[in-house]
Amino acid sequence: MIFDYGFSIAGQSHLQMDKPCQDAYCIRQLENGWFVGAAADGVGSRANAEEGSALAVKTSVDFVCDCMPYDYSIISMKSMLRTALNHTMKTIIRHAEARELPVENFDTTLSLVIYDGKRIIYAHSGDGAIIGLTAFGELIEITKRQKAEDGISLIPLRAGYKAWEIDTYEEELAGVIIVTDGVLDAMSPYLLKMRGDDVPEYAGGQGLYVPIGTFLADPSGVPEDEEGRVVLRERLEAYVTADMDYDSEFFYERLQEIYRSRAGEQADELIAELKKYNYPISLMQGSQDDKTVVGFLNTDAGIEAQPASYYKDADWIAYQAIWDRKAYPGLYAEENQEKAVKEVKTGSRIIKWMKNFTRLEPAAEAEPGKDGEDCGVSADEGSDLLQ
Amino acid sequence: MSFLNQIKKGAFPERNEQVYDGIRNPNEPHLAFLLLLDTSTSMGDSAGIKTKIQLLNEAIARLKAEMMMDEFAAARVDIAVVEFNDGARVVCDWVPLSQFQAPVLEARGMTAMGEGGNLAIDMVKERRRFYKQMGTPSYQGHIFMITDGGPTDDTTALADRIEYEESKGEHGKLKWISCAVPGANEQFLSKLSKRKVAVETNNFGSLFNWIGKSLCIVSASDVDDKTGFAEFNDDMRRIPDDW
Repeated sequence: MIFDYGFSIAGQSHLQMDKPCQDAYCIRQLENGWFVGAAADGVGSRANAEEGSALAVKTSVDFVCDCMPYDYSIISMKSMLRTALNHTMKTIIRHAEARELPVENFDTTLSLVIYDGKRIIYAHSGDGAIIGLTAFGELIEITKRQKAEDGISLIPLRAGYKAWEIDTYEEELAGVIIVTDGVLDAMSPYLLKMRGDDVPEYAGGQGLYVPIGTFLADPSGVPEDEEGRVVLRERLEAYVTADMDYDSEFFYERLQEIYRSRAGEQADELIAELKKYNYPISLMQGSQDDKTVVGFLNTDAGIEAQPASYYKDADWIAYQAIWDRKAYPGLYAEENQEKAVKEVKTGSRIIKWMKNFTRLEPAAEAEPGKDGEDCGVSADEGSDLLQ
Repeated sequence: MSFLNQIKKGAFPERNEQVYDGIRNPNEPHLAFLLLLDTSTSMGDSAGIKTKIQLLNEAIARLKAEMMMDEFAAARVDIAVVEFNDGARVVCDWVPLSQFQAPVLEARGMTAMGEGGNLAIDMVKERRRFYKQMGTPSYQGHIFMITDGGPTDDTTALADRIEYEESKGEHGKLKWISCAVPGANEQFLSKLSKRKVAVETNNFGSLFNWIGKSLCIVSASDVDDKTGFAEFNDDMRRIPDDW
């Protein structure tokens, strides 16, 4: 059975400036039991952004419900989704013309999903995301965040079909959430997106913060009764709203229940570790933009557990230290100098080792303590250094 | 009273006393703030019991203490200082506000404003490029140039670059604010950039208080938000008055 939920919440920055929530969402269930959901984020600087996003979710979901191909074939549905986005854009244009306003005023993102309980067929435009929890228990960001070259401006629905991402995700999904950038920012902090030899990998390298993704997308612990589901919906919304007086116990209570089914006895330790710095809460509180989540969680899906280390909190201090070293080299001048000296020494050792290596006869064995000794590195060590 | 209103009304908000044993938020956006300072000979002139440069040094030292009261600014502002006299020099390369050590500047030489301004723009643009590479959300960079004179070198390229950035509005990489203290060539500064502020006396404290409050407003906002500046202190003039 699929548990669905959705909400759009005005961000703190909008509330402080007396701006309305410019996000919108829409959820409908098809006759065959499948779900259709959409989330949209009206472009903040546009005068009628909230109208654009509201129009986008309603028009696109209505279109999908009305025009769902009779055979439910993937090819037909993908084609239909392209038409749905086109129809949505035309509706926005007509609306703008009727209001005698520029269409840019209504710019919005749009992410649209059809979920059959296992797979999704989706259309995506903008800087939100569609995130799945696979049957293997791994969180994955299915869509790409569409941003302009400046890294800040987003690419709206108006960018057209060349920018639209329309596809299927065929791997079995136990849960899927559609989020706008206000939630994605919290779920995908930049410290987790750093790449490099010196950066430790976190949770499969997806860049998604597991506690938040798990809390929002994991069907474990979803009550069977409607009353319990109403309470859960309220708790999900309260967490994403993340008021300054938010009671984090609600968050950890649900997460603990999920972690117990994944990490067994280690769950309590994992939760205690998360509570120490409380980053799942501060990350959500730190995101001041409007926030929207649409969730479809299949309570009948079987989910494999990832290793307990997958659920372990990120070593934020280490990630921050890596960022700081890149951002403020002047503060680490001594350390960088030492490193540079070490690298030069290592480099010269490698060169010596390679010279010795090329001097060896193919059939001859290196005499221990001879060629190896004078450069201070063994053949095995040399191989390691070269890697 | 909301946080932003507190600052706009002229008060630095009370510091959140929560102690962060580590980092405040793993997804902190950053704000590149560059102080571009005229340290030419005229800054050594007397301004009462002290010289202008002494007053400037004191004001810079106070700026950090005031801004550190604000948890957003403390966590998000990166600061650099460039001085110009006979040439331009990086006095302090980018550091987080918490690590900033106020320099002790000395007055000497000419007013190489063109060289200093170009160096400042290069640094801020490079900084924003770095943030982008790291996937770090960032605000428009802010350059506050403080001068008591006029340029003694060529400023054509600098004026073009400022005009180019200002033409991009909110999508520009930086905001340039010229701050004139008594003695400054206000006519020239009005041509150089869209935003100019003048203080009536050598009250550097008042000027830096306004700069600090303005940066608190920016750093407390969302990176996509359009934000203005703090309300002007009584001894300050905004020229023109539409920015």
